[in-house]
Amino acid sequence: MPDIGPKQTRRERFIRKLAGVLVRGIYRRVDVYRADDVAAGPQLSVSNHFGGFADPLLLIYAMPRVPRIVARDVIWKYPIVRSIMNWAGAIPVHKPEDRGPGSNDVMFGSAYEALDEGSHVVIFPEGITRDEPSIGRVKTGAARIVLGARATGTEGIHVTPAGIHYEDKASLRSDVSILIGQSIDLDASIDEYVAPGDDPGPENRAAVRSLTAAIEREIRRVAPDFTDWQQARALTAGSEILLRTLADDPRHPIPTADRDALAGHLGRKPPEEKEQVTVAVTRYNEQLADLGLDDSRLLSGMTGKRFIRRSLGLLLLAAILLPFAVVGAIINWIPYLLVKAVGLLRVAPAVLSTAKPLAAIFFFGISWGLTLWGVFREWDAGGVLLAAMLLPLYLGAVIVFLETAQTLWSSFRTWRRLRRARSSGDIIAAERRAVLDVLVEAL
Amino acid sequence: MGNLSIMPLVVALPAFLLIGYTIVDIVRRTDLNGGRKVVWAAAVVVLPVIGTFAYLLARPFQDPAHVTLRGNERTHAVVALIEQRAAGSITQDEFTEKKRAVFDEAVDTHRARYS
Repeated sequence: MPDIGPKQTRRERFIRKLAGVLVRGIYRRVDVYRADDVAAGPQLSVSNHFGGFADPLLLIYAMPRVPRIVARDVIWKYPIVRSIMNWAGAIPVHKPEDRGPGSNDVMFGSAYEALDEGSHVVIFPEGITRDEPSIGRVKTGAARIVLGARATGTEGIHVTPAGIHYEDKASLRSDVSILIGQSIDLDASIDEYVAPGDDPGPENRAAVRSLTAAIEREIRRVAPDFTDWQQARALTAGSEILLRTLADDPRHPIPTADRDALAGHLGRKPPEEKEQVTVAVTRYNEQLADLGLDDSRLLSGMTGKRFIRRSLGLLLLAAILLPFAVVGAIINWIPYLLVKAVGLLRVAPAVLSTAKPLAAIFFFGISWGLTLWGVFREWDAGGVLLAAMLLPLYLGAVIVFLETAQTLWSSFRTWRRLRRARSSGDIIAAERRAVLDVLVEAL
Repeated sequence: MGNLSIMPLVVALPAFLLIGYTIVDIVRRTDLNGGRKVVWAAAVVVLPVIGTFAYLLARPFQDPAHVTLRGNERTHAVVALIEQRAAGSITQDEFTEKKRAVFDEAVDTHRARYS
């Protein structure tokens, strides 16, 4: 993998690295597909907002340049949070429903300034986090920021759509994919939004409206945008069936960004076609579920021989990791249970996707801080450096150990269930062919 | 201390592996010139703990993005067909026929593998 191109300041490099370490700890797989090649100049990225705090963290990780995040001003009320937000270059936005004093002249001023410096700014134009798998009403802020910045003389602004897809945003160690679409080159396309001779600034309501509509359309192209959860699940599963059929080896995992991009393509089909696909895929998945299978297990080719070969490797890995996993478990069981406890709160998934990563950072941070302090008291500063490098490795050992055990168990069940389903193999094959025909037709 | 006997296993072994990984990473990096590689490698060898810590802290983060779909030839063929259809360079009938052909070939290949 090539290292990133644009020159970054030391602070930006550190922010990006911190986000990278956190993201890799919090999620299992993060798959990023970037169609865009904007690497310099003023850039406003617009993203869907499903995951609260997790969204900006993931975008810092996925974007080639560290963005400045536009965030609600209420979080600046908390002392430590305020320092972190200022240090990370976040831009406060005041929302009328938060009441209290504040206007957005300052926000627009800061955003113009940031774009004028050629910075990268991120805004979530829906304004609030959502728990539905669709895009809400896109507000006019993004359009007004770029038209305003352009009117004050900033040239070469690009507006880049980003879509974040969570497998399960309420749980840690789940999969995420991020699709970054083609940018709108504002200077090149300005005539599409501003009628000739009209004021090209943010006061031109018609221009703001038409640019906002374009932004909304672009976000819908990259972000999850489905009628309901059943359709979201069915079209995503359908996309996976298509890609698994095309794959050279259907046993390999499907890249989630590819899957979500194709699911988005299916999601833009006419409602009746989507409905047909949803019904067919849901039925197929239910039939497989009755046998304890799913499409990936069905095509896993998991025979007894293959299971034994595979489990030997996994058992060896688990045995090597065991001593380190034990050390990791001793150090980390208290923060782990505390994070688990946070997960028991009965709140919306979007709240959990903020609360759980923050709780994990907080509790693991305290626990590791105390461990390092203990090492410092017992040994010396060199020991602290060594421990600081080894602590993540111990936690990694626990995670890989547990995930290996899980894979082992899952492979075992796949083998048993495939064996049991063998008698109805022809029926299942015909069902798969039928659902595939529906999917190919809809493509 | 009773647990001293497990120290070599749980501390020294991962520490050695980490230092080894660091040196391999320095050698394999494409964005560093030879002189810098030598300086970093020397730092890691002479001062293993401090050198490794400083290197890992200073190492720039790799871009996680991939810029094309990662599917195989068949996937790319289907994506190309979708794009050609959207651009109007093939008719709906051609599109239907060609995409079916790609999927039929894929299904046949897999059937051959598994039977």
